[in-house]
Amino acid sequence: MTYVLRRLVTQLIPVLFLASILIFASVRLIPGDPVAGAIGDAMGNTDPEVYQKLKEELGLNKPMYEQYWIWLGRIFSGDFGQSLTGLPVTKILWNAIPASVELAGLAIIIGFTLGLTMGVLAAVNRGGFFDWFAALWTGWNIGVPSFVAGLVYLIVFSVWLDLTPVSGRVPLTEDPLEALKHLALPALALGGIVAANISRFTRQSLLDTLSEDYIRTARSKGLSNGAVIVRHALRPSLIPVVTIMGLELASILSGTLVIETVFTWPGLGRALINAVNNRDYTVIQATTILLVFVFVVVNLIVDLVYVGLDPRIRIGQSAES
Amino acid sequence: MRERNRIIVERNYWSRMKRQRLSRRNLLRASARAGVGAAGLALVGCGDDDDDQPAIAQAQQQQAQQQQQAMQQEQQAEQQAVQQEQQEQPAQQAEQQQQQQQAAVAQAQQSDRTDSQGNVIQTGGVFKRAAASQLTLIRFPWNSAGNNGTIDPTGYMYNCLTQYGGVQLTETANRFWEYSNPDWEIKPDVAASWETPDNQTWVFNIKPNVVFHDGRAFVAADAAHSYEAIRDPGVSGGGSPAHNLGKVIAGAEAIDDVTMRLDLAEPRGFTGALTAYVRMGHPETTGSTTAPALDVARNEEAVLIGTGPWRFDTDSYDPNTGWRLAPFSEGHMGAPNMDEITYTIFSDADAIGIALEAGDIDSHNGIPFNNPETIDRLTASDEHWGWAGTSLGGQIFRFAIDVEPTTDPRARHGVWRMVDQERVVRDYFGPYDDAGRLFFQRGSQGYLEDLDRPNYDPAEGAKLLDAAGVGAGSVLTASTLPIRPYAPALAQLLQAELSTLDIELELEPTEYNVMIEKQQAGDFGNFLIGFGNWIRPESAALAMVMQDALHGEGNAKRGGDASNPIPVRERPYMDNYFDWLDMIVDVQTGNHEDSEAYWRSFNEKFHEVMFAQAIARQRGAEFYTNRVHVPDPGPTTPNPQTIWLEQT
Repeated sequence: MTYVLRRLVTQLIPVLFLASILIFASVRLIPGDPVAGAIGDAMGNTDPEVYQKLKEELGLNKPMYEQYWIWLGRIFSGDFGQSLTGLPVTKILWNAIPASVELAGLAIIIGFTLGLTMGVLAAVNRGGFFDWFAALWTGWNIGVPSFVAGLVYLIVFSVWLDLTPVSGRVPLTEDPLEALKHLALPALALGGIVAANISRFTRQSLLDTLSEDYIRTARSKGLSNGAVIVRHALRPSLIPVVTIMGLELASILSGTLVIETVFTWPGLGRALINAVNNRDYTVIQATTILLVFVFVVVNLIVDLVYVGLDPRIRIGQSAES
Repeated sequence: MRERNRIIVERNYWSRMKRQRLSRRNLLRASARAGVGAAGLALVGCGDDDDDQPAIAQAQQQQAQQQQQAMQQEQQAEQQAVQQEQQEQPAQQAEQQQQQQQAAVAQAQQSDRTDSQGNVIQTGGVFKRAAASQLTLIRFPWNSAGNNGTIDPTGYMYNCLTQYGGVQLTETANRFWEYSNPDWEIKPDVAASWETPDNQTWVFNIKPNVVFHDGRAFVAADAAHSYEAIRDPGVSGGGSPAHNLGKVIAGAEAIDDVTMRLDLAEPRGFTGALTAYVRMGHPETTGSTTAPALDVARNEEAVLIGTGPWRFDTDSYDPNTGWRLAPFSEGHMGAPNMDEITYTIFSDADAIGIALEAGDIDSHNGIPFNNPETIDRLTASDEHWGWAGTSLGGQIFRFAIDVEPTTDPRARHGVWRMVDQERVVRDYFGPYDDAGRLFFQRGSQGYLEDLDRPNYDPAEGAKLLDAAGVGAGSVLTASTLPIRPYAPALAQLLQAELSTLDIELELEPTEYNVMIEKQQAGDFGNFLIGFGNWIRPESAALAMVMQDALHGEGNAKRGGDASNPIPVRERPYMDNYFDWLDMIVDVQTGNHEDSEAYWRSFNEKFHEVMFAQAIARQRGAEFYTNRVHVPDPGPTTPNPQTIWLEQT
């Protein structure tokens, strides 16, 4: 518990603070004026008075440091500001977060379950059918960009086979079956990449472990192959895989940007893409800082999981002690 | 053009029976009923005519027994049918669907309404449309709309004074429909009639039964407010087409509740677009604020209020998802045929095509698809109707005329002749785009094929450039938009052509939002490539030409001051300004000649006046699922009142 608190104080807060500065500054380094983008159009000319008035309304006429402190102060009171779309940013986030949680959640389940299963089967049947199939699956998911894979899934499963809807979301709480139909393809596209990476690492890690002396000892004791794998090989093999899982969680967060766009999924990724296109500073800032927060917390959880997997690892202790 | 599927309502009993599926349940039920009927007939037909009471009593007793037996048979049959129902769920669902469809048809028959194509109108259903991702409340309020995507929802929500066929000049070819208003007639919308006491005054009589979505009566003062408001850049966004149209207005005034006077700044032929383009808004939601929609969104009490048959559901708006329009049955146009219109925001054009193919959406709001194969599939589909082909929109190549050396028209024409338009179109636009130059598209009145040919002629270009003093060692600058692949490709081709003359072309790849700033400031070098549509396919095209002809701001400014543009009429090459203006007015009002010489003259003037040249006519596509019936298509959006959905 002390370790968790220390991590939160020494890492989470400083990281978020530094990230907030970087995000705030980098958003303003993106070329293009949000006010001009909001009220101008390709054919016309914006009236200078109109431009100035809207800039003042949005608080973009103030010095940058002042804008930053105002923004930071508002965050602490739960106010992420006003979007260029006219809505409060909190409302946009509030609408988008459940969608992203659903998508990321199912993608994680698919990715981890499928990845671990295929990795273990491929290692155990090295050179066999499962190994070959896993290699094919991995090649597809890693080699083909997610937006291409997404479109292929849409055409095959939605248009040709008419099994799933093409776009949109039904909340899980409203109609679970319909919600899963909507979720299936984006989660498969997103989770497939994760599964491919985890499968590769699991296979390799398990093969390495299976060649260890203690495994030979276990076999020489007369243990069955299954017992050797489950009792002795799998657990130590999972330590590097857990590290990868932590990273894969981050890749899921970034993957939502593409997948949510292709599948018209109304989550944080799509909100961020739309905001970048429209130079909607407040939405970009809020979404990005939220993603940073999730990433830091996930890293902490991964560190805690290590302890459960390897008793030799003790958290909160230096190497010397 | 493939003929769209239509529901056929047979009034003939046998043809209807023939189409019905004969299920076991129906068979058993029919047998039982036949048994009852036969028993009844036997009793009636076989009975004596005398008044023998015992015989009657016996007959009645027999009849009762037979009826009881028949009822038992029917009950058994029903029970069997129920058991079968449980075993045959899919069949039952299909039957239910069939029954629902028949009920919908029957309901429509009762209402006895048919559309202009003779189809019985059905009511109900949700019309699902796709929208572009950039759509935000700040961009689609009322009259500050800047592009066709934004015009769409407001087209359902608002009325104008008139409906004018002139804006459909460009809609003649490659469309599913023909002119809905081919005689250029100006039809009433909320204005019942109008007159012109002099050549600068128009007086409109407003229909007395028009009401806003909040229930308040629409009066002439509201119409006057709408015209005054579009003149205010703080309301209409400054650069919007409506605002630019409004520059010809000197003032608008309500004489009484049903009469409004519109004063023009100078004598002018009737500006049809001005009355068919400016939407009538509620003063409380079109107030003189910087961005009315921003205020609407901030103020939960306020909504976008118009007089059209659909009202905006503010609560449904999510910039990440979409929004819905609810029917406004209390309006002067009556209840629309559908229950709801939903808009789903798509970030990806290809995803829109796939959603349409899968039936997730019914139409796509004129958003062009990136992938020609999607258009091919939709064209071949039996479940969709619509059109695909070239349309008026053009990707432009816009010159600055106040930056050396393109101040000289010969330099501009010289550069333009170095552009291998056909190659760019072939390589980057695909089979649906034309390498045309004309304002008019094929099949329309003003189209002349010989003038439409691309004018790639490097030798002639070199001569013109030399005559303008642009020779070896000269430097030209251009901004390009890399997100449109043809733009850098075209720029590089041009760079290669000019390098053969030892003319350097410096390119500045520019991001979209930066390009907006550059264009507004007139700071894009000698020309820009790939930014802004020349004229958009769904817009009031001639109104846009008029706007450019009158004002033409943005690419010529006095002393480098973007806020001080040089009007077109004062530009050096514009020695026939009023002739040109007259021609535009004549074409708009339908008072034009219809000879080849006339259109040749119009097109040549147009090329001279416009400081932007089209690279290609943009690929356009508009498809609907077969369940959508658009009997009276309009220039910008399907008619919000007459569109209806087939119930399945």
